[in-house]
Amino acid sequence: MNKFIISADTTLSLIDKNIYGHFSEHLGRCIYQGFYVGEDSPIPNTDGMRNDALEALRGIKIPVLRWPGGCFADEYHWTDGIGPRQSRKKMINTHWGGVVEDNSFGTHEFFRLCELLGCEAYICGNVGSGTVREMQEWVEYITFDGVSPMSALRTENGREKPWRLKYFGVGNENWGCGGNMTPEYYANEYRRYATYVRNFSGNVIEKIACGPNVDDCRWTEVLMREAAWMMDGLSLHYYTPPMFNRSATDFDERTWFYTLRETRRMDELITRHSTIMDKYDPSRRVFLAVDEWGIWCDVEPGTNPGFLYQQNSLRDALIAALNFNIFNRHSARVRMANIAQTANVLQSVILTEGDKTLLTPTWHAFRLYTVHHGASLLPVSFSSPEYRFGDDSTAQADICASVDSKGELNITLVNLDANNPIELSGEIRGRDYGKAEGEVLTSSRINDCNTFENPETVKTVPLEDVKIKDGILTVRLPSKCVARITLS
Amino acid sequence: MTARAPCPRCLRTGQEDAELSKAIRLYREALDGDTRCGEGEYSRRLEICGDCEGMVNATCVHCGCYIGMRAAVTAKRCPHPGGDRWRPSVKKDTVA
Repeated sequence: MNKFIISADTTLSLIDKNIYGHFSEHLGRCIYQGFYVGEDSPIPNTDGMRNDALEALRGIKIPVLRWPGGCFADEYHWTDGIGPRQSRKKMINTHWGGVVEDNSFGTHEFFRLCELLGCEAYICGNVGSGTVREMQEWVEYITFDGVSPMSALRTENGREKPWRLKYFGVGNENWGCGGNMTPEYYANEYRRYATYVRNFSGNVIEKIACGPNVDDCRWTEVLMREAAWMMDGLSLHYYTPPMFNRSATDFDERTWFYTLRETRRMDELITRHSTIMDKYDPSRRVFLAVDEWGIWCDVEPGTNPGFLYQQNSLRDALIAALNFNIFNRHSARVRMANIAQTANVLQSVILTEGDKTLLTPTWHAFRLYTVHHGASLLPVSFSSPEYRFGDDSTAQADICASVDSKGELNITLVNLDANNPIELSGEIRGRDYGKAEGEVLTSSRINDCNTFENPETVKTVPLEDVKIKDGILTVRLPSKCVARITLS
Repeated sequence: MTARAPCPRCLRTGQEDAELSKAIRLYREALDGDTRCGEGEYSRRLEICGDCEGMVNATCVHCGCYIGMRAAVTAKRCPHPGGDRWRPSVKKDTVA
């Protein structure tokens, strides 16, 4: 029996619900078709937003949505997306797919979407090809509640009251598609642009600076040294690479093993960047926002490669769960993360085809982890046995625990082993619990996925082999699974 | 005189995109006999898609597929949210 200890009376950091945030770009069929189908669509919708997508995202309590990019953000001019739809500019989306962007989804539609989802808005502004004035006026248009040219324009376009805007990203990937800048140059640009991202009418914006790509620690060092005092958050982008074979569904155990092991690199990256941030910001005022993460596979055969449409298997659920556990453990510094992307692009939680929608295994992982939203992280002592493949190994199991406001203790667990179950025995110290129940997400094959023909191949079922007695929790996890246990 | 293959991007102008045409041809050739749509049905499907507002730059916006590839698979259906336009029993003017 493999043992672990949870100290239920020693809370660590608060797990910000925004760790379970999303990212949606004007890319492929994420915004258009994934969310927005227009009021005249035969697909049931509310103000043009498809109802099945709204329902799916409410089901995982989506806390924050980042928009409009991504690379698209640094070529997006917000005035193209306001006013009567029929007169909005039509343009080619040069970054993604080369299709026509008709700007029918713009600022008003985005805030309506956030309102329908009940989530915070996180807008990413254009530094790469936009102006300071353009950014300043966008913020004024959204948030100013007085007499001004921008508030007048907003009223003219049908919205008298300002919206609430909590998060604003000052550029995206400015080390790459956002202008190919050096960190020194971007730090200066950040300071200039951020100066004019103002708080109007009681709305307080948390400004997020473009952070490093993967392991570019020098970028983090320069940004923190030169501009930390002007930022509330710093972003980090890391995509899990599928190892040896980039197919989303056609892979063997070797690819499964090495891809899951590579996912754990997120822990090392956050640790390294956090250490630099600690040097300049020991009180951890500035948060790390992992605002693009997920597995990046080859597109599905027969689909437009510029649309980045990939299937989603049981492996993706484990990748999500491993990342969630890592984010939770780093929640003193990581206070936002945004999966790329919500619908039909990369590691999605929903896939759509015409009027059909399916929930992916990643959606199920998100749902299992809703118990951690806003909960307090608990210390877990655990030395996992190894999952071996050839000459290599990685920890077979991963455990994270938190206590919520009702006093319930929630544990999320991952068994990475493709073939073997694991039996665990947990000592729960500091509080007494009399009841244990849970759910588990698994399937018969490592690459099982949900399709439009069979949308419920991968789904959660009650976890049978779990009990608590005299402060000892015992559980048997099947192979290749994600599980959630609640003690009350 | 041999009829010219339709352009895979617009399906009818006759101005071919060589790279995409080749990709579609190879994709079709790789399909097994039973899986691959017959020539007549394939042409019928492409003709229907050519008149559909959901086709943008050779891509179906309802599913993200290159139309020339999706139409090549017998079992695939048209994903139009107003109804499957490839179904012989569904006339185009009966769907939204």
